[in-house]
Amino acid sequence: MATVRNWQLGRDMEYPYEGNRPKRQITMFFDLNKCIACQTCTMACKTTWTSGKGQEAVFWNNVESKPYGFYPLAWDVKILDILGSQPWSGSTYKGKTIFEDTAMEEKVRGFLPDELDYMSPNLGEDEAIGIQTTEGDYIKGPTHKNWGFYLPRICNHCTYPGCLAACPRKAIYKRQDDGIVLIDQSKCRGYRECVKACPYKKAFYNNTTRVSEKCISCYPKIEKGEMSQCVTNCIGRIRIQAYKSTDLAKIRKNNVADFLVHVRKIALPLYPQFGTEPNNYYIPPIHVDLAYLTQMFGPGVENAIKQYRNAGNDKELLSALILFGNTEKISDTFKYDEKTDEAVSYDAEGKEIVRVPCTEPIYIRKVLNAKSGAFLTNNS
Amino acid sequence: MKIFVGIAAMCLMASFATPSLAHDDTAEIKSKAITGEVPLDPNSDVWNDAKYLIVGMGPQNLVAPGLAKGTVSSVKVKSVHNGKDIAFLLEWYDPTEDDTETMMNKFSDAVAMMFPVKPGTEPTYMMGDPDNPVEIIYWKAAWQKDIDKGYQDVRDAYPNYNYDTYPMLNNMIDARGNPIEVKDGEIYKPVAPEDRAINTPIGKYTDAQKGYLPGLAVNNPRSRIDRTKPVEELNAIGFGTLTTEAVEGHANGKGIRSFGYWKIVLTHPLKGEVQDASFIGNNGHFMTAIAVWDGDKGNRGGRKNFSNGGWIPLWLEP
Repeated sequence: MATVRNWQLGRDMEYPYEGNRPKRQITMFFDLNKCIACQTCTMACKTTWTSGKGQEAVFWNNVESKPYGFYPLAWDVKILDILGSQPWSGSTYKGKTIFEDTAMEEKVRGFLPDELDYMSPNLGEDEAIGIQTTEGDYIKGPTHKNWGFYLPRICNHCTYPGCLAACPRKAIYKRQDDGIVLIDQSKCRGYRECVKACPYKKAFYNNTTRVSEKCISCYPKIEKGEMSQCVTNCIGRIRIQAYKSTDLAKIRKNNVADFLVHVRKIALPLYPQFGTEPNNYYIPPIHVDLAYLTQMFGPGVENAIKQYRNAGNDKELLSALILFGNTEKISDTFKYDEKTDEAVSYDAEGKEIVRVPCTEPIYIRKVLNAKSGAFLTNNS
Repeated sequence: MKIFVGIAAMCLMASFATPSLAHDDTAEIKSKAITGEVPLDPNSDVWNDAKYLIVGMGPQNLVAPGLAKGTVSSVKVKSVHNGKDIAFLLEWYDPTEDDTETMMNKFSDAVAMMFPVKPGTEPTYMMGDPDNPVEIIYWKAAWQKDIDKGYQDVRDAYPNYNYDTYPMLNNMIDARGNPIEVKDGEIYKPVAPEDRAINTPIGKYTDAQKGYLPGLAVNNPRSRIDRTKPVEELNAIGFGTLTTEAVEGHANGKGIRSFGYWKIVLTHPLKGEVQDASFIGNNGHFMTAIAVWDGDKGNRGGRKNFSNGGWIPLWLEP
């Protein structure tokens, strides 16, 4: 075991290999306040990559409804249960990660799901917590305590991947150029150690080819400077992809990823306590129970919600958020253009990619359409 | 702590593996000289006259991932040779027959024998070392089923499974749930239920369609649909280096179930390809090691039982 730095935990931790951060890390951002679980991302991914035989129950991208929706069934509550109750002290994680305190015969703590766990993607869909317990509950007051939200998930392309650590054949590797984690399809022998070890259950077994497969972050698109299929097909525009600096001493304030993660700290990793330093970041839903969100996204939740509520006044933050879903080209830098009240995105050469108004112009439509003679109202 | 236990256990292994045991009658596989072909059939009468050795098995826990507890306690081994080929009969008790790898949480029963490639060398007992490569003959119940019943696929694992369409097969479902074939955007013809996409064996796929099966497209040995024997020949020079031989040798095997027991025959030429173990010279003295997997207990890869006395002396009777 080597000792590596996990900034998400605020401490060093044990990992089977020496730390070796990529030059830059492709990261994906999800604004959970905007996701409506239409599953367009799921289908975009499915039809692009996993429509073959043996991949029937495989979803590299899925959207589950929290707290009771899962894919595969109970994936997160099972690993949380295995780890047991673990403490944070401020922003430092004092508990055990999946790499620490393992049994002698294991490299990573995990579990292999049952085949049936994959057969009902999002079992428990749309069951909100605090659901009515007595008749008439739903009409009782102006505010109610029911909450639920949608959680879109892909492989986290972790800095310290559980799958990579567990593979006895070293068939899994993390690319230096962009941090994408891949399974070598010619080297895998289908032991499913990665399926067992990945705490997010984003490594899958192909029944027909008998080897394991996982999200490839649409690397043919990424290499061309374009965002992944699940991002560019998102109709709710809840996602964006960008390269995050891997050297924390060289954070760029004008880079979308660095700005959201390290400057405003509005985007948080999913279950950072697992210790893999995941590279997908979530803007937490502002109306959800704080204790639940803290368990899921760590101790930064309160600040993230505060930032989000203030986005209307924080033009720089608003600019970063408004770029979500407005271009398929990966942004290198961005800025708020005060003169035109627009968010502007630039590529690595400083060329403008896209310009998005921070305030949508208002058009007032006349009730009578003079051209057709029709009354465009239903208030008649 | 783990490392210390590992080192202690390896020292123990090394002491067991000293050649002083080589001529001990109780711990040697005596390969009986026979005339005629070596049998591939586990029930052949030829085996009746061969002496057996009971090999004690222990859990592999020197390196993770491994087993905390053993799942197969012993294997009974017999051997015969005819001056050209050598054959081994391996028998062990396993109450569950696990012969599929076509379901994500199912693992196959399996057995493997390991030999030093060069006679007279003593590679590290754990998968060999860079100076002393080993050859491994690996039989798997799932491959035996592939041989006996054809390459096992989704339809075999889930007889009632249905799936709307595989786009690369141009095979879709119409509004009434009947499969249709689409060509150039037009409905080409209705497809008979028995020809539904899910029933199409992947052996019938075109090369372009096989592109949708990544393991097969890159010729991963795990995805082989044209397997002709239930054994694989591999080489290794240490942990994590197990590699299928590029040139297929002449090892073979056959496994059957018999009253809760697996009975497996493995055969190997005495003199094979350059990467194969050789059983020529050295006064007939060689070595082997055995590993057994119980699929029902999640055994696969390093999660296995191995002959816990280290290398087992093997003597070819003249």
